Amino acid sequence: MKNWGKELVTWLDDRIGLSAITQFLKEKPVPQHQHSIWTYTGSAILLFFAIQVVTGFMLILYYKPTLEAANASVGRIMTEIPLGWIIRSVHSWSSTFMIAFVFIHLISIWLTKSYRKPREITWMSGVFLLACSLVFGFTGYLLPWDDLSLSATKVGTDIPRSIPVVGAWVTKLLRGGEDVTGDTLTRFFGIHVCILPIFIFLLLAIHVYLIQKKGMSVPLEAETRGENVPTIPFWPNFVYREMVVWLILVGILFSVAILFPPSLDKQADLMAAAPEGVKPEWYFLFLFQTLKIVPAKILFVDGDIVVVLLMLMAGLFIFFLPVIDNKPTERKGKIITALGYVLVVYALIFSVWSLL
Amino acid sequence: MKLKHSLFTRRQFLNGLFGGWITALLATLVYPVVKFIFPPYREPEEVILLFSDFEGMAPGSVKSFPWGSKPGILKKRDDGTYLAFVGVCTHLDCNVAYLPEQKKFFCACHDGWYDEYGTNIGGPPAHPLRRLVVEIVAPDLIIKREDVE
Amino acid sequence: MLAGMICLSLFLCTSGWAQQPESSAGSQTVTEETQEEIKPAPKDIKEAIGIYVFLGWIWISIFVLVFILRQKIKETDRIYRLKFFSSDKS
Repeated sequence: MKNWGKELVTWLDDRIGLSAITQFLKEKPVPQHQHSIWTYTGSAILLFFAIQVVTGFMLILYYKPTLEAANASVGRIMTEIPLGWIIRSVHSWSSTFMIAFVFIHLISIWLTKSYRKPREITWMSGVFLLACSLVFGFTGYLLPWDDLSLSATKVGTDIPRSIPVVGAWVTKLLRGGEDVTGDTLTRFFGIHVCILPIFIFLLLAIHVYLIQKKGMSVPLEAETRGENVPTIPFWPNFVYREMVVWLILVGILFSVAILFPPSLDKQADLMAAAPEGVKPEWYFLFLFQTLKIVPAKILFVDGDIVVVLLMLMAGLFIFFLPVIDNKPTERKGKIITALGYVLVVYALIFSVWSLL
Repeated sequence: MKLKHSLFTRRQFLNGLFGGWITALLATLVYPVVKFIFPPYREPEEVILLFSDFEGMAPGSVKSFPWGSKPGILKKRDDGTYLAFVGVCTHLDCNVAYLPEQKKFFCACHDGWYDEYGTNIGGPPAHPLRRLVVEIVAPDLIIKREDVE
Repeated sequence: MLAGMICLSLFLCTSGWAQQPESSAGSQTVTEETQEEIKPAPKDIKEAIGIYVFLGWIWISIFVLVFILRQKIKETDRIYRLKFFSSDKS
């Protein structure tokens, strides 16, 4: 019984070089230091993404991405298909958890400056992964095609209009026309289930490959002092620890999904007024609030244009952060660390404020 | 009777428990997934139609009616009584057509033939067309599955 | 070990399956014109109980598996320390 397992492994190894991978994983060192806990965020994101793929595969069996049928098909999933409401709830909650962990992961890398040389491209691919995650969330939000998601999409696709020169074109590209219509729905569906998955798999491959190639980073203080940080092997020591984290996260996800499942509002009416309390998903709330408080005009320029330009600049800043923070131990580095804290506080305060 | 040596080590026991429990957990998760992917399809036990829609049928003619998601075929015999079939070929599920001049049902997919009573008479079908029970309870025309009371 | 795994999984599978909810959640009646919000919920008490049993089973499994994993972690850490500090670098 044990023998055929070993024979199978040998058979595969002779053909695909499995032992190179297993040996690498057994020897790959994972540093243990006071910031090590943040190394669990990466695989947590992968866990939730895998759950999204599996539940997404299931939902796509019944979902109909047309204006006429979308809302009803989600309703059918929730009422007729056995346990459909749980599958949909898991998909919805897992997206929230995944994006939450993406933010935590980003902040932890920012504050520990793990993006510094030689891991700049890892960071940049990570920023693209963040963008993909947010677009996943944004496109997925429209798919039930109810009043709330329609209004949120109208607002969300209108924001790029404020970008000078290309704004109107971007909005038309997102909407498939001037307005949000059934074409927008079909377009968002294609992006959500086909275009984005391809991009995210390519980006993930680059991101994970670079992590293996460059190894796990150590804290800046340890690096500058030339300390030898104690390590544990990735397999099996670190993986066992990761499994503990995964199990607990899955438990929390299932509990929340079963106890607080999302409901489905009635089908969107393209002609109706926006419903009260229109707001985007929680991860866009801070941007939403920023747009709300900005005055209509700032020095002859539209308030919206100012905010959108600020957002673009912030995006570029975040993308080029490893290049900007080229002297991490000096004063500039400390300012950038402080800026990370400021961004977190800003995002939290503005998100909560938008709900009041 | 006390054993001299353990059947397995503590490590083997824990590893076995771990692997076994994970297998059980995965199996419990597979069950709802399978139920979701294969939703229950229930064929209707009976279908109730308006008799007036079918009253004026000429003897020897057929009219179709919905039987769940399949086509049902109602045939009025020469003596005025009714026969009902599930209009699906018993070979590979294509919908059959009735050819009134020949008084035969024909399946175009693989040249299957049934006579006017649904008996398979030519081509690949190995079984006759499935019969349904017809009841006329004015003003309804009730068509039932054969095994339903 | 194999026998143990099979017995354990059979026992737990059947206990899990017996209480699995049969079919989907209920909803408020969906009428043709005025479709109201659909609130997801278990269809009947049997399904509701099945779901809570399922959740309980998940959490019990988590506690058991985390306990075993902690033992495994202690063990592999011990082995690693032995190897690391020994002269044999294999």
